[in-house]
Amino acid sequence: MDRPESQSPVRRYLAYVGLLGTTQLHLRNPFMIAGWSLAFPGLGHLLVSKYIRGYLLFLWEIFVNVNGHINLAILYSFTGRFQMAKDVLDINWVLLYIPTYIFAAWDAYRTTVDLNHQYILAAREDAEVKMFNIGQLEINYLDKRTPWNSAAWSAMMPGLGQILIHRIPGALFIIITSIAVFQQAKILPAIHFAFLGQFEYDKSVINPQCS
Amino acid sequence: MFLNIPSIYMFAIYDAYVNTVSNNKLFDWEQSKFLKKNYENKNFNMPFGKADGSGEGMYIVSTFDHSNYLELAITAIQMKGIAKENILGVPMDKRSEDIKLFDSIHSADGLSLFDLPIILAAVFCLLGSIYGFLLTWGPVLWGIIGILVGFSLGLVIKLITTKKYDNRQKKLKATEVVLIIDCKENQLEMVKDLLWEHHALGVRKLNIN
Repeated sequence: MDRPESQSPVRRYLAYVGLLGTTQLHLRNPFMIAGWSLAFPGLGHLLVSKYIRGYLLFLWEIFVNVNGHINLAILYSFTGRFQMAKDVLDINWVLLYIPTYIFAAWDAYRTTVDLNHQYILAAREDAEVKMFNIGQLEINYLDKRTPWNSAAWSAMMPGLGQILIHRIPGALFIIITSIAVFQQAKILPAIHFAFLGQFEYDKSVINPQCS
Repeated sequence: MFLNIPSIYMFAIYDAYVNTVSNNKLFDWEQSKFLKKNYENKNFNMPFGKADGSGEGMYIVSTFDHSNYLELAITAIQMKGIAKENILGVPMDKRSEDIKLFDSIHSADGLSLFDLPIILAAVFCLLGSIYGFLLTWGPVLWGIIGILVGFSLGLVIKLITTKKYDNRQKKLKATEVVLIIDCKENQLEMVKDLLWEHHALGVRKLNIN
């Protein structure tokens, strides 16, 4: 069933093979998804294919983090420079950061529990899924890939593994954000100097926060 | 932005991995549904008990994993003139998955070997890149060391805590589909060749005395 007709007796179905990717329900550990949202707001939502919510929370986190200098404050606090941490935080932004951060994690947990229930109901209903979709811009169908293969591609360039398994909304977002973050952080020159052993230069080139 | 890199980078790897696993499972599920619907025909003559001679006489049993090659093999055999009802495809139920499926909402995919290592890798990478600012080798190398230490630590913990499931993992490697073709004697070699060409795990003609 691609999308069941309105008259169809099918109530829930496990997967949708759309042109931009295969979206499916399956059982996930809510703590795992919430954990990714704690690592970075929005990531948990991207994992469960709730892309728009994920994008929103992710971009909002970056916006507030950069304006409020959250990362610098974290860095200074962890390295014992508490007065610098207090000074660097921008009180014009910080209060907005905390609720968003907590909401992202809580909502990721709640959504996962809900989706697990939907999965169980859909699995019991056991409706058919249409496995092939062809359109003007893309072709998508169910197929198998080696998991380590996609992991390795994403380890070399974040997003390539997602392209391999045809998860376009995730791939696009990961590629754009990781390029933006890598460039802002100057991680590539830092890696370069680190491997040449020029450690002092290494520390000075890294940008913990957008200026 | 540097401190955000560990989580974004590790996420890209994790997301690619777990979604590949779930796409593979979806493929298996869909294909076994297809086989059950189309290739478990009631007109298929099982080699025992029916002496009316309605079958073609020769039986070839083969085993496959779920893949597109299986469907290519079946359709290639049909193109050679063997009727659909003379092909029996039996997708095997897997031992652990059906039990594990409704286990509880907290045990996600039955075998989440990857979860703990990747989380610890992200956390240790973050800590490494923070304290690397104070240490000689700098944040990049300490971040990478953090990834390696976190991932290994997570894998060791996971392997120790799931050691009792070792047997179950071996069983996961079982045959997924059994395919039986009912054909005439002169089609025997052709069918066997087609099955081997399409990556059958094993093929044998059934000898019943």
